[in-house]
Amino acid sequence: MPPKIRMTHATAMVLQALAHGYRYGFDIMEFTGLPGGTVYPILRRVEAARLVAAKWEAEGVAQSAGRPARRYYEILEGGQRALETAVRRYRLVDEMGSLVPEERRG
Amino acid sequence: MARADGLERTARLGAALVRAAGRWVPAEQRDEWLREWHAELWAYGRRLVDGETSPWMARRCLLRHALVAVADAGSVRKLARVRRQSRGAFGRAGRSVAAGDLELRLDRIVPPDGDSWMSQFCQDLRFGARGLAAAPGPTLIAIITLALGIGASAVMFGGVNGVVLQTLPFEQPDRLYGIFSVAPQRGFTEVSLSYPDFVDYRDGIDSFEAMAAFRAEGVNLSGAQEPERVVVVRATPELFPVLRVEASLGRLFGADEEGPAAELVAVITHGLWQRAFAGATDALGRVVRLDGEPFTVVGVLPEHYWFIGDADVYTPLFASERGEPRGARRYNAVGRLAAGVTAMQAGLELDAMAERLAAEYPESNAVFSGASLAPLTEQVMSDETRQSIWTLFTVSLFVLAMACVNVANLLLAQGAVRRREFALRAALGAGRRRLVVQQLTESALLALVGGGLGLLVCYYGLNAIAATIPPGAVPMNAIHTGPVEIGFTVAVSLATVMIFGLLPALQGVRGDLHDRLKDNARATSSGPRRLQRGLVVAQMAIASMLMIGAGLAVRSYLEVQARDPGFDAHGILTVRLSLPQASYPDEGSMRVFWDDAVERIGALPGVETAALTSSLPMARQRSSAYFRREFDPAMEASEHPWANRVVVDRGYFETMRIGLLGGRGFVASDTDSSPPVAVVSADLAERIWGDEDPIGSRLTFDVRDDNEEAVWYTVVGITQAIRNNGLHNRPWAEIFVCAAQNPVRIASLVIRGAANEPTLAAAARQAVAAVDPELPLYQLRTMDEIVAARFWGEALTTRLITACSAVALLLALVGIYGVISYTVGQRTREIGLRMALGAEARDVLRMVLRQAMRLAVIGSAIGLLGGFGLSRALRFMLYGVGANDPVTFIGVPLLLAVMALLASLLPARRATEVDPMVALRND
Repeated sequence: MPPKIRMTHATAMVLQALAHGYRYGFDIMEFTGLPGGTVYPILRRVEAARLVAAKWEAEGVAQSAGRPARRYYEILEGGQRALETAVRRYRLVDEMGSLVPEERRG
Repeated sequence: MARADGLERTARLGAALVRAAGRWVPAEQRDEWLREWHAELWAYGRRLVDGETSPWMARRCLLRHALVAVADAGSVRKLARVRRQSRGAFGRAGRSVAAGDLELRLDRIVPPDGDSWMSQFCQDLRFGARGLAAAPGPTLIAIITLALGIGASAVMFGGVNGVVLQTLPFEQPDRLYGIFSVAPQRGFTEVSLSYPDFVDYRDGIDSFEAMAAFRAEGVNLSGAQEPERVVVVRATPELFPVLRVEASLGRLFGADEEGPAAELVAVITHGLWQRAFAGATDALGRVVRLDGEPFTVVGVLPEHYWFIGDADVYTPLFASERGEPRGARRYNAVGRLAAGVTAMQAGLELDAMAERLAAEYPESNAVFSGASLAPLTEQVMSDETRQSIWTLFTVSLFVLAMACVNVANLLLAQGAVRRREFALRAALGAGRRRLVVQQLTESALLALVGGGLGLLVCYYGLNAIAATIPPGAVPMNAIHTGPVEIGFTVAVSLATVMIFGLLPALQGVRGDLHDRLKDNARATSSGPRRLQRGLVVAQMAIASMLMIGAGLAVRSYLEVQARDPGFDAHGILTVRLSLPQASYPDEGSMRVFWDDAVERIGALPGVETAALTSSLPMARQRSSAYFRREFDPAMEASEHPWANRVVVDRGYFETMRIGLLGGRGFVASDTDSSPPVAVVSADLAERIWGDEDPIGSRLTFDVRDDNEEAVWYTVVGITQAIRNNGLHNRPWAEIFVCAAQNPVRIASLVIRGAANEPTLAAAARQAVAAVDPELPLYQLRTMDEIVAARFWGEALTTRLITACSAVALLLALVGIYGVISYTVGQRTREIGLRMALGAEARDVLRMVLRQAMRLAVIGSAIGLLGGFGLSRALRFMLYGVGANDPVTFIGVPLLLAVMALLASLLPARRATEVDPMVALRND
């Protein structure tokens, strides 16, 4: 039984970022503007709660980009549901989608 | 650049924080966690560099991010503890990685086009200079080492380039060949040609574009400034066209030079032109006298012209010489191969012609049924000179290799100290390539300074060597520091960078840099140490090899120097005189001149005695003559024994202090009317007479059986053995005959006196001028100079190889000292521990020295093998000492071992002074 988590505003923002395709810690930090000290613990918790799953970036892709492989997070179905609930509570979180730059959409 | 620097430092701290925090993370998640943070920090760092954050801010952000990682580690730990069941959170995905996989490479973060290579290079230079200055001791050693190594090889290269590689100053000199007769059955190769033979070769052979014959002889030159003795080459008109030489002034004689009047023209060298005519253009048309005969100067040869020996005058062959018989083999021939013809083809054609001539003229040519040709370029130098120069060059390359090894070793040792530095830099983003380039820059700096000093060594070394070479001993002596030598030095310096710089540089970044960052400097892998030890063994091997070479050379040299020459060379001045036919037409006039000159010189103040001899010992003057004892059967001339026939006057033995073993020398009563007498040398007496007493027996130089008019000499005395062919060679057997009974035209005066050489020379010149003012004195030399000149090549080689091996020894000792101090430093903790556990200082000392000895012994053993090879290469210059001389082959390794022991004693003693408590606490 996965542990329950409190759906804080910050948690909702992180989930929303993930839903919009921001997939690793620093990327999420940048998008949400949340400090790292907030983002990483949230990621740990949502992962432990099975709202998101982590997956390593393919080594080849990372290498051709000239960087170390990233640990990508992916929002799961449970996470999606939790996010929908949270959006109703935190209106502004829904607005976040409009902040996603053109080139990152889709 | 400053940004990257600052970031590097911050990232170093950040990386350390992350790693420290990693310990909080449960072991099973740690690898993944470290990997993730690696990527996260990387991403953040990249953004900071790309963005417009101020450097200071960027560093703060990076540091804060690392602190986030610390907090994150705490949360991961808490999560894991609280919910054991979710331990798979990190375990499921991703591969397992080694603990040390975290590599933070900010260099990739720094955009590649962020800094030009130039500014990078400048930074490298600055870093390099700072790095070198930080360790002045090792840097100084490295620079001196390099200067010696590069200098030594540059000096030897100067020898190779100045002597061996010098090409003849002609167009396409490799197409020029000397042409000789060969007598296959007799074993004579390279026999001179007769004029008729030459004409047949010239006209009957198509392989050569052109062919010329010439011969050289010494003549007295007068009519210019001082009378002097010169070598004149009498040549057929084809000579200059064959060589393709043009006159620098006037004209050369060519094929159109015909008729008796045209014969009397002379072409002079640049040297003679400067000397005798002070380089004046009105030298053309002047008349000089060669042995009294007038010749008109028509042309001057170019300055860098060099053909054979020290010839100064060229004249056409006389018509009379063209009519010489086929048996008079006294011409050298030189030909230029026709286009597209190989030497092999030309040789075959020559052979065929020689065979035809042998069949056609059996009387004169039967035995000379072959012909040979040899490249002119090889004729100018003896194989021994060539070989000794190449040997020395090889030796110097070994020294250079040792210098490289030494510097590599020093850099390795320093590299080991700096491994942490490099690991950090790598962690902070410096790429491997960047680190290698950085180290190479440092090496290049070393090479630059070392090479500059090496050039100085080269300059002074070459000057010193050039000064020791007797004039005329080396053809076209061009030993000086020219552009080629400088180019070589630069090239060698650059090459050494590659050799000694790359190895430690690669070693420095080899393996996992992160491991090193994590570990302490003390725990270095054994890789570089093994490499270092290998290099020291190589140094020991080279040093022992060169020392063996030097040992053999020195032993040979000392052996030769200790030999008794059979005469006392000290305090003797010699001078050569040649009486021209024109003023001294008969024996009587020559006898009068010599008697008068010797008497006047002997009476000069400061002169003890003076005497006359037709050939000086050790001066390569030989007049060999076959002789026959009375009652011995007559045979073919060449089957009779031969001896060096020397004409001396009655004061000669006394002046030269040549001892008589029996009988008497020449006395005043030996005159042209008394019975002819001879004195033989001890070795001749032994060889020909064996146990019999030669005194009283008779011999003749006329070996024909039926000659009633043969002059029989009665042996009246035996001299001690005289090393007339150099101290190192077997002496020629000698027969002395009396000047009063055998007048000579060319002779040397030997003058023994207490006065110094210039005074004696001036006095002698005056005395001779009083008898005949027209007569030139030439080859003014002291007997000591003659003796030294005879052995100069061996002496110089010995000196150079000794210098090289001394440098090699020094370098090897520096090397072993370095490696032992380094290991002692590395093993401080271990030594401290041992001592804490009760090891005595003695035990520690023994332990360290044992290691040094092992290196020295292995190295010497390998060096012994190399020594056998080198001694073979040197065999041609070893006298009185075998190439496998046991004294050298045993002594050198022993000496090397003792020296190695001494060199490692210092660091070994330091090891015993390790305070166990300090050593252990330092950790």
